Amino acid sequence: MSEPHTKVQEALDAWRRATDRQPRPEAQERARRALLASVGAYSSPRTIFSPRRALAFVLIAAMVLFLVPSQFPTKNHTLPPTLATNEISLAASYIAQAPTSPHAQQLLTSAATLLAKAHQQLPQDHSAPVWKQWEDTQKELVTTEREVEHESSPSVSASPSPTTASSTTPKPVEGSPSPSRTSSDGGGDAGSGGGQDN
Amino acid sequence: MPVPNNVSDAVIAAKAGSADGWEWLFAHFYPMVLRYTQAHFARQGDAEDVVQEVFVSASRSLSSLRSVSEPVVEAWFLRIAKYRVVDEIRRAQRFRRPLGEIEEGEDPADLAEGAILAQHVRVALLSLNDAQRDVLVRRFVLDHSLERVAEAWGKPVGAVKALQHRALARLTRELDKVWGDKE
Repeated sequence: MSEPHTKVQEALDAWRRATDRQPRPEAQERARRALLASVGAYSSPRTIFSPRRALAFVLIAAMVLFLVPSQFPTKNHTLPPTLATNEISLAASYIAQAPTSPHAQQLLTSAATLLAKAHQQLPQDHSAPVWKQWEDTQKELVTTEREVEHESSPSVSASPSPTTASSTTPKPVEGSPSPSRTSSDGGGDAGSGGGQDN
Repeated sequence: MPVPNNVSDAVIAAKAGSADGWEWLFAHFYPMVLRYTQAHFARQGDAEDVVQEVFVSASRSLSSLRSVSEPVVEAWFLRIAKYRVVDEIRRAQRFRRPLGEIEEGEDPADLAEGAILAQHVRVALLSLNDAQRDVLVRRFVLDHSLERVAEAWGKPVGAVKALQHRALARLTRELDKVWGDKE
Protein backbone atom coordinates (compact mmCIF):
# COMPACT_ATOMS: atom_id res chain seq x y z
CA MET A 1 0.00 0.00 0.00
CA SER A 2 1.23 3.50 -0.77
CA GLU A 3 2.24 6.04 1.82
CA PRO A 4 -0.78 8.07 2.92
CA HIS A 5 0.25 11.32 1.26
CA THR A 6 1.03 9.48 -1.97
CA LYS A 7 -2.31 7.80 -1.88
CA VAL A 8 -4.08 11.13 -1.39
CA GLN A 9 -2.23 12.46 -4.40
CA GLU A 10 -3.26 9.37 -6.38
CA ALA A 11 -6.85 9.89 -5.31
CA LEU A 12 -6.76 13.53 -6.37
CA ASP A 13 -5.32 12.55 -9.75
CA ALA A 14 -7.97 9.87 -10.18
CA TRP A 15 -10.66 12.36 -9.22
CA ARG A 16 -9.37 14.83 -11.75
CA ARG A 17 -9.33 12.20 -14.48
CA ALA A 18 -12.84 11.10 -13.58
CA THR A 19 -14.16 14.61 -14.22
CA ASP A 20 -12.68 14.67 -17.67
CA ARG A 21 -15.62 12.97 -19.35
CA GLN A 22 -16.85 14.40 -22.60
CA PRO A 23 -20.22 16.12 -22.51
CA ARG A 24 -22.98 13.85 -23.77
CA PRO A 25 -24.60 15.49 -26.79
CA GLU A 26 -28.15 14.59 -25.77
CA ALA A 27 -27.74 16.09 -22.29
CA GLN A 28 -26.07 19.18 -23.70
CA GLU A 29 -28.88 19.62 -26.20
CA ARG A 30 -31.50 19.17 -23.48
CA ALA A 31 -29.82 21.82 -21.34
CA ARG A 32 -29.53 24.15 -24.32
CA ARG A 33 -33.21 23.81 -25.04
CA ALA A 34 -34.14 24.36 -21.41
CA LEU A 35 -32.01 27.49 -21.38
CA LEU A 36 -33.56 28.86 -24.55
CA ALA A 37 -37.04 28.03 -23.27
CA SER A 38 -36.26 29.90 -20.09
CA VAL A 39 -34.87 32.86 -22.02
CA GLY A 40 -38.01 32.91 -24.16
CA ALA A 41 -40.34 32.64 -21.20
CA TYR A 42 -38.50 35.30 -19.31
CA SER A 43 -38.03 37.84 -22.03
CA SER A 44 -41.41 37.49 -23.75
CA PRO A 45 -43.95 40.18 -22.94
CA ARG A 46 -46.73 39.13 -20.57
CA THR A 47 -49.19 41.82 -21.31
CA ILE A 48 -51.86 39.75 -23.04
CA PHE A 49 -54.73 39.13 -20.69
CA SER A 50 -55.93 35.56 -20.66
CA PRO A 51 -59.22 34.93 -18.85
CA ARG A 52 -58.42 31.25 -18.51
CA ARG A 53 -55.02 31.98 -16.99
CA ALA A 54 -56.48 34.58 -14.66
CA LEU A 55 -59.24 32.22 -13.56
CA ALA A 56 -56.77 29.42 -12.87
CA PHE A 57 -54.60 31.74 -10.85
CA VAL A 58 -57.51 33.05 -8.81
CA LEU A 59 -58.78 29.54 -8.11
CA ILE A 60 -55.41 28.29 -7.00
CA ALA A 61 -54.70 31.36 -4.91
CA ALA A 62 -58.09 30.98 -3.23
CA MET A 63 -57.40 27.32 -2.57
CA VAL A 64 -54.03 28.15 -1.04
CA LEU A 65 -55.51 30.89 1.12
CA PHE A 66 -58.23 28.53 2.30
CA LEU A 67 -56.14 25.43 2.85
CA VAL A 68 -52.93 26.73 4.32
CA PRO A 69 -54.33 28.56 7.35
CA SER A 70 -56.70 25.69 8.10
CA GLN A 71 -53.76 23.33 8.45
CA PHE A 72 -52.05 25.41 11.10
CA PRO A 73 -51.98 23.94 14.56
CA THR A 74 -53.25 26.43 17.06
CA LYS A 75 -50.13 26.63 19.17
CA ASN A 76 -47.19 28.77 18.32
CA HIS A 77 -46.50 27.65 14.79
CA THR A 78 -44.33 29.66 12.46
CA LEU A 79 -46.07 31.13 9.47
CA PRO A 80 -44.98 29.86 6.09
CA PRO A 81 -42.54 32.16 4.33
CA THR A 82 -44.65 34.42 2.15
CA LEU A 83 -42.21 34.33 -0.73
CA ALA A 84 -42.15 30.55 -0.82
CA THR A 85 -45.94 30.41 -0.70
CA ASN A 86 -46.23 32.92 -3.52
CA GLU A 87 -43.78 31.05 -5.65
CA ILE A 88 -45.51 27.74 -5.04
CA SER A 89 -48.86 29.31 -5.95
CA LEU A 90 -47.47 30.77 -9.12
CA ALA A 91 -45.86 27.46 -10.01
CA ALA A 92 -49.20 25.75 -9.43
CA SER A 93 -50.90 28.18 -11.79
CA TYR A 94 -48.30 27.50 -14.49
CA ILE A 95 -48.78 23.78 -14.04
CA ALA A 96 -52.54 24.16 -14.31
CA GLN A 97 -52.21 26.00 -17.61
CA ALA A 98 -49.62 23.70 -19.14
CA PRO A 99 -51.82 20.86 -20.47
CA THR A 100 -53.83 23.21 -22.65
CA SER A 101 -51.11 25.69 -23.54
CA PRO A 102 -49.04 25.66 -26.73
CA HIS A 103 -46.13 26.70 -24.51
CA ALA A 104 -46.44 23.81 -22.10
CA GLN A 105 -42.73 23.14 -21.83
CA GLN A 106 -41.93 26.76 -21.07
CA LEU A 107 -44.60 26.88 -18.40
CA LEU A 108 -43.35 23.67 -16.81
CA THR A 109 -39.76 24.84 -16.90
CA SER A 110 -40.79 28.08 -15.22
CA ALA A 111 -42.81 26.14 -12.66
CA ALA A 112 -39.84 23.89 -11.95
CA THR A 113 -37.58 26.87 -11.44
CA LEU A 114 -40.09 28.52 -9.13
CA LEU A 115 -40.41 25.36 -7.09
CA ALA A 116 -36.66 25.02 -6.83
CA LYS A 117 -36.50 28.60 -5.62
CA ALA A 118 -39.33 28.07 -3.16
CA HIS A 119 -37.59 24.97 -1.88
CA GLN A 120 -34.69 27.08 -0.71
CA GLN A 121 -37.01 29.20 1.39
CA LEU A 122 -38.91 26.44 3.13
CA PRO A 123 -38.73 26.41 6.92
CA GLN A 124 -36.66 23.89 8.82
CA ASP A 125 -39.76 22.44 10.34
CA HIS A 126 -40.90 19.79 7.88
CA SER A 127 -44.32 19.62 9.49
CA ALA A 128 -45.09 23.17 8.40
CA PRO A 129 -48.02 23.18 5.95
CA VAL A 130 -45.99 24.95 3.33
CA TRP A 131 -43.84 21.83 3.04
CA LYS A 132 -46.87 19.74 2.13
CA GLN A 133 -47.97 22.42 -0.28
CA TRP A 134 -44.55 22.32 -1.92
CA GLU A 135 -44.50 18.55 -2.10
CA ASP A 136 -48.01 18.36 -3.55
CA THR A 137 -47.17 20.94 -6.19
CA GLN A 138 -43.95 19.12 -6.97
CA LYS A 139 -45.85 15.87 -7.47
CA GLU A 140 -48.36 17.69 -9.64
CA LEU A 141 -45.49 19.03 -11.72
CA VAL A 142 -44.03 15.59 -12.26
CA THR A 143 -47.42 14.17 -13.21
CA THR A 144 -48.17 17.01 -15.60
CA GLU A 145 -44.76 16.72 -17.19
CA ARG A 146 -45.45 13.07 -17.90
CA GLU A 147 -48.85 13.89 -19.35
CA VAL A 148 -47.46 16.61 -21.56
CA GLU A 149 -44.62 14.41 -22.73
CA HIS A 150 -47.04 11.61 -23.44
CA GLU A 151 -49.35 13.81 -25.44
CA SER A 152 -46.69 15.52 -27.52
CA SER A 153 -46.38 13.70 -30.83
CA PRO A 154 -42.91 12.74 -32.12
CA SER A 155 -43.37 14.84 -35.25
CA VAL A 156 -43.75 17.97 -33.18
CA SER A 157 -40.41 17.56 -31.45
CA ALA A 158 -38.16 16.34 -34.20
CA SER A 159 -35.02 16.80 -32.17
CA PRO A 160 -34.26 14.28 -29.45
CA SER A 161 -34.88 15.23 -25.85
CA PRO A 162 -38.39 14.90 -24.57
CA THR A 163 -37.43 15.61 -20.99
CA THR A 164 -36.55 19.24 -21.16
CA ALA A 165 -38.59 20.39 -18.25
CA SER A 166 -38.39 17.35 -16.08
CA SER A 167 -34.68 17.50 -15.67
CA THR A 168 -34.80 21.04 -14.36
CA THR A 169 -37.01 19.94 -11.54
CA PRO A 170 -35.98 18.95 -8.08
CA LYS A 171 -36.06 15.20 -7.73
CA PRO A 172 -39.43 13.71 -6.75
CA VAL A 173 -40.03 13.51 -3.07
CA GLU A 174 -39.28 10.11 -1.67
CA GLY A 175 -38.66 8.62 1.75
CA SER A 176 -39.06 10.65 4.85
CA PRO A 177 -37.19 13.91 4.75
CA SER A 178 -34.62 14.60 7.43
CA PRO A 179 -34.66 17.98 9.10
CA SER A 180 -31.87 19.65 7.21
CA ARG A 181 -32.01 23.00 5.54
CA THR A 182 -31.33 24.07 2.00
CA SER A 183 -28.31 26.24 1.38
CA SER A 184 -28.35 29.21 3.61
CA ASP A 185 -25.35 30.68 1.88
CA GLY A 186 -27.34 31.91 -1.00
CA GLY A 187 -29.00 29.33 -3.09
CA GLY A 188 -29.51 32.52 -4.94
CA ASP A 189 -28.21 32.90 -8.39
CA ALA A 190 -25.89 35.75 -7.93
CA GLY A 191 -24.96 35.77 -4.32
CA SER A 192 -21.69 36.96 -2.99
CA GLY A 193 -18.51 35.06 -3.65
CA GLY A 194 -17.77 31.77 -2.10
CA GLY A 195 -15.78 32.25 0.99
CA GLN A 196 -16.63 31.23 4.42
CA ASP A 197 -14.49 28.62 5.95
CA ASN A 198 -14.56 26.83 9.21
CA MET B 1 -27.73 42.32 -33.61
CA PRO B 2 -24.54 40.61 -34.90
CA VAL B 3 -23.63 37.13 -33.74
CA PRO B 4 -21.22 37.55 -30.80
CA ASN B 5 -17.71 36.20 -30.94
CA ASN B 6 -16.46 36.90 -27.42
CA VAL B 7 -17.76 36.75 -23.86
CA SER B 8 -18.40 40.46 -23.51
CA ASP B 9 -20.40 40.72 -26.72
CA ALA B 10 -22.29 37.57 -25.83
CA VAL B 11 -23.27 38.93 -22.41
CA ILE B 12 -24.36 42.23 -23.90
CA ALA B 13 -26.42 40.38 -26.51
CA ALA B 14 -27.91 38.04 -23.92
CA LYS B 15 -28.84 40.99 -21.73
CA ALA B 16 -30.69 42.41 -24.70
CA GLY B 17 -32.66 39.17 -24.91
CA SER B 18 -30.75 37.70 -27.85
CA ALA B 19 -30.85 33.93 -28.12
CA ASP B 20 -27.57 34.10 -30.04
CA GLY B 21 -25.91 35.66 -27.02
CA TRP B 22 -27.13 32.86 -24.82
CA GLU B 23 -26.18 30.20 -27.34
CA TRP B 24 -22.66 31.57 -27.40
CA LEU B 25 -22.36 31.69 -23.61
CA PHE B 26 -23.77 28.20 -23.35
CA ALA B 27 -21.34 26.74 -25.88
CA HIS B 28 -18.43 28.52 -24.22
CA PHE B 29 -19.12 27.74 -20.57
CA TYR B 30 -20.99 24.43 -20.67
CA PRO B 31 -17.86 22.21 -20.64
CA MET B 32 -16.32 24.04 -17.68
CA VAL B 33 -19.52 24.07 -15.64
CA LEU B 34 -20.06 20.39 -16.41
CA ARG B 35 -16.58 19.55 -15.23
CA TYR B 36 -17.17 21.50 -12.03
CA THR B 37 -20.33 19.53 -11.30
CA GLN B 38 -18.81 16.20 -12.32
CA ALA B 39 -16.28 16.71 -9.57
CA HIS B 40 -19.14 16.24 -7.10
CA PHE B 41 -21.38 13.58 -8.60
CA ALA B 42 -20.46 10.07 -9.68
CA ARG B 43 -23.54 9.80 -11.85
CA GLN B 44 -23.06 11.82 -14.97
CA GLY B 45 -26.81 12.30 -15.17
CA ASP B 46 -26.83 14.10 -11.81
CA ALA B 47 -24.07 16.41 -12.96
CA GLU B 48 -25.87 17.11 -16.23
CA ASP B 49 -29.12 17.93 -14.45
CA VAL B 50 -27.35 20.40 -12.21
CA VAL B 51 -25.63 22.04 -15.16
CA GLN B 52 -29.00 22.47 -16.82
CA GLU B 53 -30.31 24.18 -13.69
CA VAL B 54 -27.24 26.41 -13.64
CA PHE B 55 -27.96 27.77 -17.10
CA VAL B 56 -31.68 28.17 -16.47
CA SER B 57 -30.84 30.05 -13.27
CA ALA B 58 -28.31 32.15 -15.12
CA SER B 59 -30.90 33.14 -17.68
CA ARG B 60 -33.03 34.54 -14.88
CA SER B 61 -30.38 36.51 -13.08
CA LEU B 62 -28.20 37.90 -15.84
CA SER B 63 -29.34 41.41 -15.02
CA SER B 64 -27.43 41.12 -11.74
CA LEU B 65 -24.16 40.75 -13.63
CA ARG B 66 -22.41 44.10 -13.52
CA SER B 67 -19.32 43.39 -15.58
CA VAL B 68 -18.97 41.68 -18.93
CA SER B 69 -15.30 40.72 -18.64
CA GLU B 70 -14.55 37.04 -19.09
CA PRO B 71 -13.11 36.39 -15.59
CA VAL B 72 -16.15 37.96 -13.95
CA VAL B 73 -18.61 36.09 -16.15
CA GLU B 74 -16.75 32.82 -15.58
CA ALA B 75 -16.75 33.41 -11.83
CA TRP B 76 -20.46 34.18 -11.99
CA PHE B 77 -21.29 30.91 -13.74
CA LEU B 78 -19.15 28.94 -11.30
CA ARG B 79 -20.77 30.67 -8.35
CA ILE B 80 -24.20 29.66 -9.57
CA ALA B 81 -22.85 26.15 -10.11
CA LYS B 82 -21.52 26.09 -6.57
CA TYR B 83 -24.91 27.00 -5.12
CA ARG B 84 -26.71 24.49 -7.29
CA VAL B 85 -24.28 21.74 -6.30
CA VAL B 86 -24.74 22.57 -2.63
CA ASP B 87 -28.51 22.50 -3.05
CA GLU B 88 -28.39 19.20 -4.85
CA ILE B 89 -26.15 17.63 -2.22
CA ARG B 90 -28.45 18.80 0.57
CA ARG B 91 -31.52 17.71 -1.31
CA ALA B 92 -30.02 14.27 -1.86
CA GLN B 93 -29.10 14.05 1.81
CA ARG B 94 -32.57 15.16 2.86
CA PHE B 95 -34.22 12.52 0.72
CA ARG B 96 -31.53 9.99 1.59
CA ARG B 97 -30.66 9.53 -2.02
CA PRO B 98 -27.13 8.15 -2.26
CA LEU B 99 -24.70 10.27 -4.23
CA GLY B 100 -22.00 7.68 -4.39
CA GLU B 101 -23.52 5.17 -6.74
CA ILE B 102 -21.77 4.26 -9.92
CA GLU B 103 -24.17 4.76 -12.78
CA GLU B 104 -25.96 1.68 -13.99
CA GLY B 105 -24.69 0.41 -17.29
CA GLU B 106 -21.43 2.26 -16.93
CA ASP B 107 -18.39 0.76 -18.59
CA PRO B 108 -16.92 -1.88 -16.24
CA ALA B 109 -13.51 -0.43 -16.96
CA ASP B 110 -14.65 2.64 -15.06
CA LEU B 111 -14.95 0.53 -11.97
CA ALA B 112 -11.19 0.11 -11.92
CA GLU B 113 -9.19 1.43 -9.05
CA GLY B 114 -9.03 4.95 -10.45
CA ALA B 115 -12.80 5.30 -10.47
CA ILE B 116 -13.02 3.94 -6.95
CA LEU B 117 -10.40 6.37 -5.70
CA ALA B 118 -12.19 9.23 -7.41
CA GLN B 119 -15.37 8.18 -5.70
CA HIS B 120 -13.60 8.14 -2.35
CA VAL B 121 -12.65 11.77 -2.95
CA ARG B 122 -16.25 12.68 -3.76
CA VAL B 123 -17.47 11.01 -0.60
CA ALA B 124 -14.77 12.71 1.49
CA LEU B 125 -15.70 16.06 -0.07
CA LEU B 126 -19.16 15.78 1.46
CA SER B 127 -17.58 16.33 4.86
CA LEU B 128 -15.95 19.58 3.80
CA ASN B 129 -17.71 22.91 3.91
CA ASP B 130 -18.86 24.63 0.73
CA ALA B 131 -15.87 26.92 0.40
CA GLN B 132 -13.40 24.11 1.00
CA ARG B 133 -15.04 21.96 -1.66
CA ASP B 134 -15.11 24.88 -4.03
CA VAL B 135 -11.43 25.68 -3.70
CA LEU B 136 -10.37 22.08 -4.23
CA VAL B 137 -12.49 21.72 -7.36
CA ARG B 138 -11.22 24.96 -8.83
CA ARG B 139 -7.58 24.21 -8.05
CA PHE B 140 -7.35 20.48 -8.76
CA VAL B 141 -10.04 19.89 -11.36
CA LEU B 142 -10.33 23.17 -13.24
CA ASP B 143 -6.63 23.99 -12.83
CA HIS B 144 -7.33 27.54 -11.77
CA SER B 145 -4.42 29.47 -10.30
CA LEU B 146 -4.58 30.84 -6.78
CA GLU B 147 -4.78 34.31 -8.29
CA ARG B 148 -7.74 33.33 -10.46
CA VAL B 149 -9.62 31.85 -7.50
CA ALA B 150 -8.79 34.90 -5.41
CA GLU B 151 -10.10 37.21 -8.11
CA ALA B 152 -13.27 35.17 -8.46
CA TRP B 153 -13.89 35.28 -4.73
CA GLY B 154 -12.74 38.85 -4.19
CA LYS B 155 -10.30 37.66 -1.51
CA PRO B 156 -6.54 37.97 -1.05
CA VAL B 157 -4.39 35.22 -2.51
CA GLY B 158 -3.10 34.40 0.96
CA ALA B 159 -6.60 33.72 2.19
CA VAL B 160 -7.27 31.33 -0.67
CA LYS B 161 -3.97 29.59 -0.05
CA ALA B 162 -4.78 29.16 3.62
CA LEU B 163 -8.23 27.87 2.81
CA GLN B 164 -6.79 25.37 0.32
CA HIS B 165 -4.32 24.18 2.94
CA ARG B 166 -7.09 23.56 5.46
CA ALA B 167 -9.26 21.96 2.81
CA LEU B 168 -6.52 19.52 1.84
CA ALA B 169 -5.81 18.66 5.46
CA ARG B 170 -9.49 17.99 6.05
CA LEU B 171 -9.78 15.97 2.87
CA THR B 172 -6.80 13.86 3.89
CA ARG B 173 -8.37 13.14 7.27
CA GLU B 174 -11.65 12.21 5.64
CA LEU B 175 -9.94 9.96 3.09
CA ASP B 176 -8.06 8.25 5.90
CA LYS B 177 -11.42 7.55 7.51
CA VAL B 178 -12.81 6.16 4.26
CA TRP B 179 -9.77 3.98 3.71
CA GLY B 180 -9.70 2.96 7.35
CA ASP B 181 -13.28 1.73 7.01
CA LYS B 182 -12.41 -0.27 3.90
CA GLU B 183 -9.48 -2.06 5.48
